[in-house]
Amino acid sequence: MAEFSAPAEFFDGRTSRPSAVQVRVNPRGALEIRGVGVELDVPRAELRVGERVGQATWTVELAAGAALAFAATSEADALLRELENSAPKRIVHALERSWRWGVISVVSTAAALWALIVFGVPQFAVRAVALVPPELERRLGEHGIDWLDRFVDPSTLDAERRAEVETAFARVATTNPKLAALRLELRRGGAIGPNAFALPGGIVVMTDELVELAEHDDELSAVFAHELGHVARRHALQRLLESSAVALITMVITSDASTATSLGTSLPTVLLEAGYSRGMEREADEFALQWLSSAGIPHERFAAILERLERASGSAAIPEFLSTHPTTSARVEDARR
Amino acid sequence: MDSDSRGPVFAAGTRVERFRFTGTGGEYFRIWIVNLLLTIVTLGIYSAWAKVRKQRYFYGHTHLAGSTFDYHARPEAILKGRLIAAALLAVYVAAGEISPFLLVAVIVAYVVILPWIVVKALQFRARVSSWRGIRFDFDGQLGEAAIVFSLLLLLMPLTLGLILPYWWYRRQRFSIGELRFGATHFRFKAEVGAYYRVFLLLLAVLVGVMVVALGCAFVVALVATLADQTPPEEDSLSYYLVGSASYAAGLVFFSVLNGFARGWIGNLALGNTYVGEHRLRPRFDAAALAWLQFTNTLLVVVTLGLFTPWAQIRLAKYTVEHMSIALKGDLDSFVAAQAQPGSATGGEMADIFDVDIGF
Ligand SMILES: [Zn+2]
Repeated sequence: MAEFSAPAEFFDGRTSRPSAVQVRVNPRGALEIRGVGVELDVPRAELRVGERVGQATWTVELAAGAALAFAATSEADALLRELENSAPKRIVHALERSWRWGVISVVSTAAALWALIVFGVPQFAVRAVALVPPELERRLGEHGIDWLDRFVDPSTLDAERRAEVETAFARVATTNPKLAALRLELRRGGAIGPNAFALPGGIVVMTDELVELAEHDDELSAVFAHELGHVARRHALQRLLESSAVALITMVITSDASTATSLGTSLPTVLLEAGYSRGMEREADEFALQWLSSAGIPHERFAAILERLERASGSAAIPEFLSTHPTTSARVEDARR
Repeated sequence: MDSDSRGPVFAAGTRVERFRFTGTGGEYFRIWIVNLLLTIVTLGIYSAWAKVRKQRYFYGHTHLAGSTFDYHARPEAILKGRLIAAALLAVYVAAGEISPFLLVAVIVAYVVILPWIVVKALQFRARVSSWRGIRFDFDGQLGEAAIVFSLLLLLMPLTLGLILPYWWYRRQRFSIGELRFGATHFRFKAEVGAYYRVFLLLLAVLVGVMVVALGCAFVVALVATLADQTPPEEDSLSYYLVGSASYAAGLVFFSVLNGFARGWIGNLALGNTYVGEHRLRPRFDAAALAWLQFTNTLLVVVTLGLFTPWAQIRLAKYTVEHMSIALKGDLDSFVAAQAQPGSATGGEMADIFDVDIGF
């Protein structure tokens, strides 16, 4: 059996006076500590071997506050390897020392983060949506409309036109039993231009500009059908849960980074905020086209309003359902197929 | 600041012991990245273990008189604390989503329990730290914490922030002055007037930084106008890039202020801190720290975070190696007190809520 022996500093736990000692693992596995005025034999069971981190000083805690401190030498390394019986700690320490694993970790961290945000977070959100009580979702929607009202003005449509839009909405809303408690909110969009979107809890917002853009009320119904597709699948809530999850991930990663490192991690949030995902838009489109068929409205109505919107939205913000991921032309084609 | 923060004017027989820091960026980078990966793969659970490893690395590389510091916290305790803190945060976020009144109620409740959290956090941090086998401890009482962290904090908006320097003074008098090393109590002798002077200087730096930032923004706008470029559209990629870039610029400018604050406040607070009869002697150059923080943040931003471990090591090395302690007698005669392990909850809650306690 190899001899494990290394010099160390011994502290008795009562005063701050250090003693230089020689430490050895004896054949019975106990720790022999020998120095001027120090003669201790400590059984292995009474030791607490501190984790080794890089070349930082390593400590072994003994009973009653006494401790040994080892400088990072190869003898101390061998001795502590003999004492340390936790495999995970050994493995982590070994990984932390290798440059190769450092590089592998950079790549894996990037890949893991990407996978977590692109696949993990949406999967989590889909499942978590089912756990959110409808009452909370409704309140989130109210909260959303209050927030929105700081940027938009009340609708300026006359009562007659309003009633017609309400009818176009009711036509979609009443045909689907899954969609309870729906509400339409009309607003003068201003900066956000011709636009429509669904808030959590079944509030659908449409701007006057979009109403004015439509050449037929069936086009409005088609837009409503798309938005109600988002409502039926609770996409808004899902999106909210996704961005909360990303915020949480950001927090966990940067929680012990004292310098300002939040920039790199704020980018994913920015990217997620860009709108609904490709899959969500496709689901909403399918829902809309299905409804159009069942109501006997030609799909062309949907294609027409999509195209007109794209032309009209030149300078204003991109309307929700002109989200950039599936290109408008692809969606128009799908609608005309 | 008094006369002996200017130079070594010491009575005969006084010895000065320097702190040393031996950590290196390359070594810490490998530790940091492996722990980051493990944290992500375990969905954050490992972060408690990562924190312990980080602390052990920095403590184990900080030397005083031939001995290093040691960190004793158990990851399980830190994990428990983080979970409780996360639950409190979830309540806060949920309240904000539900109604503003509920949010106000939750904030008031948190301000009420804040003193308790702060005391627990300071206790935890002290008790898991040791040097030469002697543990630190914290003797601050809840009553004093309630004055500093509830009452004065609530008065802050009412006084338009004029009591900020006074609050900072009370906070550091509490978090540093109530520390204990074994049986030896710390004493904090800085004076409040000096805090007002330092904060006036910081205000001047803030104004200077803002003038420079606005100047830069003006030049960029001017160049853009001369080149007849329309501002980027709201939906385009360049809109996000411009947004991110100005955010990054904000961070970099803010880091300058952070450096000056560390330097000046550090010299003031630590330079008036006594451990028994021994006196700490920081020799921070605020401009050098500002430059260090400026370059750190710039490099962290440019490398998308990969420079973080080097940045942390640079800051630790500067801070530790510009500290020394003027000794009356020697460092061998500190005596231990009876120690008890602290609960991690306070420590981790302070961590997650970013209550910056102590220096
Ligand atoms: Zn949509």
